[in-house]
Amino acid sequence: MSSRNQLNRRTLVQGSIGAAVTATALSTTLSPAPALATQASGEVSFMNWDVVAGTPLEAALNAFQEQSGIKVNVQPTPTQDYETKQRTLLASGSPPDIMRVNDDLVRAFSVADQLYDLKPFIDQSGLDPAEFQEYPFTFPVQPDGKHTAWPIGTRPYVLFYNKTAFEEAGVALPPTTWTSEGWTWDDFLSAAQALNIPDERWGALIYDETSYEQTFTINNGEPSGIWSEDGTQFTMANPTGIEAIQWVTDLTCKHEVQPPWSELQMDDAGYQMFASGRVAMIGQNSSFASYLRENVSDFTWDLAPIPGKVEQKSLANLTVFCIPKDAKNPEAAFELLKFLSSTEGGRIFADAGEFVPVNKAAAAEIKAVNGMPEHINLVTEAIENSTTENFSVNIMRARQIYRSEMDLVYNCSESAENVLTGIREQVEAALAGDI
Amino acid sequence: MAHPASLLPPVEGEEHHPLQDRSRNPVAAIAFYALMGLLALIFALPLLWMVGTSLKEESEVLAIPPTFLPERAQWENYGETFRTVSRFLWNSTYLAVVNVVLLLVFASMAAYGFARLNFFGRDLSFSLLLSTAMIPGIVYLIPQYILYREIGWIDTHFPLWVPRVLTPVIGTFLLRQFFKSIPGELEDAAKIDGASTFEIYWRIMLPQVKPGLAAVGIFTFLDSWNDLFGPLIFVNSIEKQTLPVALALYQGEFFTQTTLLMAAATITIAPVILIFIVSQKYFIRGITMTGLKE
Repeated sequence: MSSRNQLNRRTLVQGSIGAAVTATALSTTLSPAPALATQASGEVSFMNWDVVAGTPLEAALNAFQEQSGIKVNVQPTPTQDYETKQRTLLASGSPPDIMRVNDDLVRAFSVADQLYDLKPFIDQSGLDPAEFQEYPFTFPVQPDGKHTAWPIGTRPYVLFYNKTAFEEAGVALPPTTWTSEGWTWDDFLSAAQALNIPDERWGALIYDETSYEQTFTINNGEPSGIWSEDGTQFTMANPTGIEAIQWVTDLTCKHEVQPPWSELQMDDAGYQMFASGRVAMIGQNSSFASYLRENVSDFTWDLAPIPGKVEQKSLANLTVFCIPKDAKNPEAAFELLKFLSSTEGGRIFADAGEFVPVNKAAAAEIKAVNGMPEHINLVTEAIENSTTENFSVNIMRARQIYRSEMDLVYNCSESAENVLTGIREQVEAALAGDI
Repeated sequence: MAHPASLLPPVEGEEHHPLQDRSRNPVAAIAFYALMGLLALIFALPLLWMVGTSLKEESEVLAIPPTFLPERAQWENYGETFRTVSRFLWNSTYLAVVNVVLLLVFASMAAYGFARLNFFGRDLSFSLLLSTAMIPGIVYLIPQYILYREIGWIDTHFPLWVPRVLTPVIGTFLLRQFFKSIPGELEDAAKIDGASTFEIYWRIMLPQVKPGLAAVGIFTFLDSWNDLFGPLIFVNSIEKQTLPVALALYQGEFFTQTTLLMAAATITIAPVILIFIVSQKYFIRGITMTGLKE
């Protein structure tokens, strides 16, 4: 890691805590500019599960404050126990005006009538849905028509690879567009085997990022992925789903080109393994690029599509915010959400590579500059070829049940068939809300 | 310091404990200390890794083969981390001091009452007090939050010390055991000399339970110092947060700066280790005496 990168990295992380202390004070002194909306004013409390200071989000919040004159009070709440605080605040009727929310929970919170319906705001503001990517815009629309959340960005699941390792091993580079030509599962396995050097470098790492479950299941021919479309069946336990999970696990258990599960139990172990050159290919969400930009200087890295089989799909992970029903200042809160998903706000995130903005014009500005990989534009193709999970109210409980059992598969002590068929009934009972 | 073997009870039917016999044999003694040293090293390994990692560059953290020491010590990690966490360090320190001092006052008074005073419903009250410790905090979290909101305590430090200080269940229990072990003659003599109940508690009995106070004080300090949940739930402003929250903030959604996190962790646990080293005699004595009855 170069000293420049260290400095940048440190600046980011140190700033993320230290500057947070002063961010609120600074925000109050920013000179107010013409308001975005005449009816919105005052303060907005903003709770996020990640540090805001020193990140593109802080830059976007500052830009909003300058333009609107609305003060944003950031309440950084670490990922650990975030949901406990979120549920406590919602249940007690004292939530902040804006909350980051796990996309898995949007449906459940909506059913519990805990989120503000944004549809009247959307209608009044004259927002044109055509300005936004379709899936993020329609994701929060509930069966009753309420629009209960607001994604500001998408983090598609893509493959990161060590280009230097490919070149040194004489392996053909993956495609630079979203195609499976020369990039099937068999091609991927061959590349992983050629890149694998025992005790030095693993060929690939897939099962570390759970986005693979949906992606590889669908790409193997299971049309709805983990869950059926109506959210009542655990379709990953169908034969094609089982085959997909077993194929990924066999990268470790059979082909020995993937790090053992036991080596991945430390936080960010997969990130660090790739960044230190000990893994040649890794499936990750596109935000991984911002980590690599700061931590990799010893080799060249790039993006590639997920390998294809029957299908070649990615998964669109969303960065979602919501306005709780009991928020004190929903008008100002919506103005902030609107700004974060505007061309101007989205451009801040696009420049930083944080995620792909939901605003199409901003997303189109993602370029291979500022340390971005050569084919960063693949993220937009990934979104165009992305799938999503079929969310249901009880998805979190069902997920807890099957994920806890997956260790048996990943540790090579049980087959995917035994584990997934064994817990299918229990998972589907959880989906039905029976347990 | 007592010899380790002298702490062990003799085995029935033998004049000495086997370890006591072994202690007279130099070879056995060396083997014993070697084993203890090895065990100590194993227990200390995570601590050593933490300190070593705090001085590394990020790229060295998961290097193969693993190393404990950095190639070149990055002392600036500590400088930068300290500048970041100093505000949180102050919050944690003052909360710990407030918690320890006030809890010892309230817990010792309650413990003295339950141990030495006779009043109607004493044992039932004590049982009720103990039973409150059986209720998981998460059960009453939401009502507690609403209550604090109604009295204006959200985003203040009050929820982080007032409930702990005024409901010191474990502290009261531990100190009650100490008070019960003190001979009643001391109390009787003080009464004959005309001491009031408070004077007996303050001037006669309290000095007798110093090891217990030390143990409860250390427990309280650790409880306050390591409390992540309370500040996370009840405090919103970052300038009012404490060290555990600051540590958690080093772990981002997409990445963790392990070296800085470990430097912050080292700064966080240094006072705890220092306090334990200074007061371990009282701490161990306090804990071991807790099981004694009068």
